[in-house]
Amino acid sequence: MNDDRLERLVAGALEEKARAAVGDDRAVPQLDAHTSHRAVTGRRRRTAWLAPLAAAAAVVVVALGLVFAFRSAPSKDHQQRVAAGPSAGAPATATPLSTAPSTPAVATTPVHVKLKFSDGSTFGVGIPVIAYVSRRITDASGFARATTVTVNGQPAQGAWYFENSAEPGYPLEAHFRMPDYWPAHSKIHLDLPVRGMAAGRGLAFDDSLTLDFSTGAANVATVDDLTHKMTLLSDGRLVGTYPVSLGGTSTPTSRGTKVIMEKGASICMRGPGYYECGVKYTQRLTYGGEYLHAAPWNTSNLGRLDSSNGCTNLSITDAAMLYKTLQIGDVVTYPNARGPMMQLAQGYGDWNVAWSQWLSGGAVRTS
Amino acid sequence: MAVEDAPRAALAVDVPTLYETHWRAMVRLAVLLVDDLASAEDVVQDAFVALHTRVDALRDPNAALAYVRASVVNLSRSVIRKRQTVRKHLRVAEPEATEAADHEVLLRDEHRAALAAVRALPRRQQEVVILRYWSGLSEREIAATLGISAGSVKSAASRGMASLQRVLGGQS
Repeated sequence: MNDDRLERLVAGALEEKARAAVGDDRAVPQLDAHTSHRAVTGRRRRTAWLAPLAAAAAVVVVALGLVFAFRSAPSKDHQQRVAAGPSAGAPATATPLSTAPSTPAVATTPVHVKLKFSDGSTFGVGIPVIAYVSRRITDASGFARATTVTVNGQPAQGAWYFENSAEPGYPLEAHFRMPDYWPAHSKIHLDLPVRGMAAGRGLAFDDSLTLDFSTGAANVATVDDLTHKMTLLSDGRLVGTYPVSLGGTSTPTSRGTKVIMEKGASICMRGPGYYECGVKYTQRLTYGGEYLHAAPWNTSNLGRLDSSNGCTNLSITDAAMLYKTLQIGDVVTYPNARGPMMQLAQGYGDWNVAWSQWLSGGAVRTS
Repeated sequence: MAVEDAPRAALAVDVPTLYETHWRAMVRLAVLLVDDLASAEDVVQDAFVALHTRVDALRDPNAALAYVRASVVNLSRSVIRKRQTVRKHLRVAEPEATEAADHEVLLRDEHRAALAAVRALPRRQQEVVILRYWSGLSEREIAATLGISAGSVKSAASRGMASLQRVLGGQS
């Protein structure tokens, strides 16, 4: 066994054990709930450490003030230069590159980054942040280092993972996620100040971006292929259990964790022995065409037998209810479906990449 | 924006948010270290509670997280130590695999063998392998977490991986 394979085996085994012990839908218990005496000592101590903390805070504030005073002159000059550029409008996200930044001698090819989502959306907790990159960059370490993310204003840890992209004009895409799903009911801010930063030999980013979005409830559905039932938890509480029919023997549903990518109106679907248009309440899970949807023609098999073309068939009532409840970014896991593991590129397969592998950066090195 | 954030950054870390955000990952780490969920959850609770007493760690969220992680590793080690002491004194003829058996039923054979091999490693090597290949920490971060030198991390990692290679290398 070579070292690479051994490392992957060990990482995979540890990951499987860790997830088997603490599922993604496991609700976070109250801090301190079972140790009241500790809470008391904690409170008593708090008064003791508040004073030095306040003093420390004051010192840091003063220090930061000095830093800003020193830096304000050049940065103001810089801002004026940018404002003088042709299209300084667009307050939202992208800052166009007006002139080559600081190193005019070397001819660099600009690399443009754009984000898939726009500001102000609300997603489920499984949503990856997706950035498209206009050139095949060779070094994303600066990009990764520059990225900061906050959850409700508090710094959080996350990482980028690069893959080939099908987006026209953008050969690469990068997905950003935390080790676990985003916290529910949170405001997330992502800052990507990469304009002018090197992206490999002769390449430099030409824009900086930010993204603000929110998460809703932690909706996590699990589809059990043995009992043919889907169980939906919302913020750790049971919402309901719904009979399903997954892919038949020749078209098995893929295994792993999927994320709702889009919610569709009625579409046409083809499967073994049927071709139906006007399929209702569709929620897309893979680019290849796995959906959650109503399948009135398959009612007799729901909860009993796998007979779909890979989709998760539901009754009209259940499909309608799930369509109303779930949102883009919500998680649907298939721990024991009979198909192969869903890959990242087949949709938002981000959670099927172990965190240890995620940190490698994928197609581009990030460290 | 940066100016607006400055005073907040200078103030204390919001422990409840840090807890909410990292609880799951920390319990998973503890499970890998102590091998049973109940102890793992206790270890993580204690680690976050201990954070309240550390003013220096509370100034910087990264430092706070590193402190919690180090506490999880240390507390896990004492759980194991206590467990070994209890076993030594009781000397009850119980089968070895008492804990954790339930949630390993689902694991693939290959993974089960890998986990058994990791568990058979000496404590230090086990910790390094888990922090390196599961937590994805760098050698320097592991050194800081365990309070040892980067050189010791490196040698523990290579010795650990060499034993795993010996045990697991035979399979495919």
